[in-house]
Amino acid sequence: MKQWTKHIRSLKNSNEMVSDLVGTIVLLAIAVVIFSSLYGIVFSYPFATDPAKVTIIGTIEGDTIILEHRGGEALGLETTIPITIGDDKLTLTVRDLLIDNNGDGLWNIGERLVYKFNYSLTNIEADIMAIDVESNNLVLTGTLDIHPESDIGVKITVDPVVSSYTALRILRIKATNYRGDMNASNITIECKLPDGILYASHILSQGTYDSITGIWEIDRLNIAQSATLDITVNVIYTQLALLLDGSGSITSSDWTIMRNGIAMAITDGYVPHNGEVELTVIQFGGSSDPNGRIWAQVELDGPIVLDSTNYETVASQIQAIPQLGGGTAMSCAFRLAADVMSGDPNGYLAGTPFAGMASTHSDWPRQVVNLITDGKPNVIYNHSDRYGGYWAGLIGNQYVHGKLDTGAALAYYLSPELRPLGEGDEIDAEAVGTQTEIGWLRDKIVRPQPGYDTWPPAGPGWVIPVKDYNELANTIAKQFELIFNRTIIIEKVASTPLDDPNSENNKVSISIMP
Amino acid sequence: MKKCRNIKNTDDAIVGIVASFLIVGLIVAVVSVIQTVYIPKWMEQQEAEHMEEVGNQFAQLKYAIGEHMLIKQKGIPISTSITLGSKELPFLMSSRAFGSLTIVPDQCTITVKDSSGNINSFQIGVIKYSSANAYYLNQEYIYEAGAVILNQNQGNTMVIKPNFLVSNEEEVNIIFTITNISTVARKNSISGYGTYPIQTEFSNNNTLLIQNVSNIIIGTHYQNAWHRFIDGTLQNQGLNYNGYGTNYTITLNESGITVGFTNTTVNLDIKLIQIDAQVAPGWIENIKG
Repeated sequence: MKQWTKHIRSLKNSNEMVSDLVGTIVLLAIAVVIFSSLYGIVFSYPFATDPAKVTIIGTIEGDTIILEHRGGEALGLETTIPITIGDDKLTLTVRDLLIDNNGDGLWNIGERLVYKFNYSLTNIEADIMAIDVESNNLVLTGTLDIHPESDIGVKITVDPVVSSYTALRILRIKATNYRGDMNASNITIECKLPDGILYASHILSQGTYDSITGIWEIDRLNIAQSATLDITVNVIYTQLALLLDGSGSITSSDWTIMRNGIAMAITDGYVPHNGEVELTVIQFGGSSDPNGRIWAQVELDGPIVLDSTNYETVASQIQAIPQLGGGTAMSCAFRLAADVMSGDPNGYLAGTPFAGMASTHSDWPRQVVNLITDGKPNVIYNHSDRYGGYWAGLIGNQYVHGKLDTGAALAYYLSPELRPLGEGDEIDAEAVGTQTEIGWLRDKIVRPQPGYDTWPPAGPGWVIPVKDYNELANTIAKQFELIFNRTIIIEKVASTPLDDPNSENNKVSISIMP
Repeated sequence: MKKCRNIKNTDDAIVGIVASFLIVGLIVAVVSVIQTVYIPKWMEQQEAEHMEEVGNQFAQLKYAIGEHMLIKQKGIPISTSITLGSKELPFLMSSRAFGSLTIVPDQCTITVKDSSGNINSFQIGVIKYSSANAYYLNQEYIYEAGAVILNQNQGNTMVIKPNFLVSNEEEVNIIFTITNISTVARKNSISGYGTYPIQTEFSNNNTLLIQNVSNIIIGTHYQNAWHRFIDGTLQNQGLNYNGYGTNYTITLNESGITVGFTNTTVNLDIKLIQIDAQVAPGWIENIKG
């Protein structure tokens, strides 16, 4: 105890311990500062495992999954590629799939992994991954949509292209599986015939066709295989009546301009001259005396079927039609057109200058009346004065009564005893100048209803306002083109279970010139 | 004499020295591990990110040139920028990555032959970025004839496709918009590690319709990229590469690729767009007046 007390006393008198403590504390402080700095600066950087710096693009081309190296570090052959398609789970490696262009045993930039799979309509997704086993990191993960493609296209032809006195034509619709990833099945094609085209019969190489719905169903089309559907249809033989206003309000020069315009449209083929159009020209006008006779008359000696041998003569004859002048006997014109075009079942033409001019083609499937006028009707039809009448001003407002009488004449034209409005039939009008009544023509005269007064019209039954006869002559061809050059058939692939890479060939149309 | 004998018999001084050595040694060991293991990884990561940034900048450059092709108007230069390199870490020892940006005239040749033997040839200038990385592998980005291509030592690939539109109907019609890059005022290259602008301006355009094309020869250093692109584009339009009814063949050689057409009529509508480009800051007006 005594010795221990002595030792403590000696330490109290020494500074060795103080020096050691200070030195140790300073070193510890230095260490703490340095490690703190390292921790703050260095350890703030990530210490995660080092993933491969690489860009992999996954895609599907047809029935092949392609993984392409798009730059960065090369990946080894043991890189794992798990692929899951439906219930099939595969774990492949780069070694199994690589197309090694440069033969270096690595998956390098521009090189591809290629995996072919079998299509199934139930497997529409492929889950893919690429795992770099060296760094144990994912370098790609994602889901590829599998959309097997099949390019189904349709083509349509008509035989004969231009008929020569035959009512029947064959529409051949050909559906082809041009290319694809797998054979197509359950294909639906719409082949509906539009109004005015009459179905007769059909023959097909495959599937079923419903002529009412126009649906053609094909159970299967292998790649590069075609199926055909031949539909026999009746073409639209047409009776065309031109009702020309020859009243006195039209100057002789305008009359000439109009005749020349119509003649040129016929010569140029806008009114077809292949034996499928029967033309009837009726002029209405007459005396300018309020108490005088006003009437309608058949020109060209009656209806005539335009063909390649006579159309130029007909055009010349139209250019030579003299103008009647006088009032606007529109109702007389409609009644005369009704009797002539229907074959005169009531025998009203007998005893008139138009006896024997009744059409022999009243059974043709289509009737078109085209009215050209520059004013409003102002004549009352007098049945005892066959196809003649008197000035409507004698019984009141000339235009009010003239329009009512024209309405009655139109009802006669459309009466069941003659010809109710059928599919493809139409009544159209050209209203020249400012004295016409567009609304009345549109809503009461043209057929079918509702009528249109804009150009191009949305459908048949239109009245076209034109500024003057020059404009009429310049546009009449387009109006005839609209009447005759109908785009009649539109066929389209309505559905196929597979994706169609080329929709442009899914829809086709064809025009038939009657 | 007695004092010296006391020091010899004590171990107080040795403890301090050993402690100092241990701490310094520990610090050196830790720093060494960081320097040799982690610094290269961080730098590699940084350089890889920089290469990705350059890729995005080339996409912007293509977009700018696309604008020129659209408006076709002179006197409207558009500036985009390319970052040539990446900086070193602010601590310990690391190296900077450098790069160079160059406009290389007549680097690519596109030759078209028709069935009558007529030949049309176009010399194409390119914009090329080359990296000089210290840690990550070196890459090149090349704007060539409207395409952006990534090239490494081991190969190349097309990262952005050119305007090469194919329609396959009764005949095959191809519209190929080719961009030719020319330099102005010798401002055709720069190197370093900063971000530098590249200005582009529309110069002129020409069109040429070549019918009944029999061969398209692309003289390029990047055969794989062009091969993959053209093969994929033609196949997507339903043209057959191999087998019955082959429509086209592609041959690779050292000087480029040759696309040959058979069993089909091919019409090629070439739209050649001339773009003037300058690298480095500032814009020199067209000295040709």
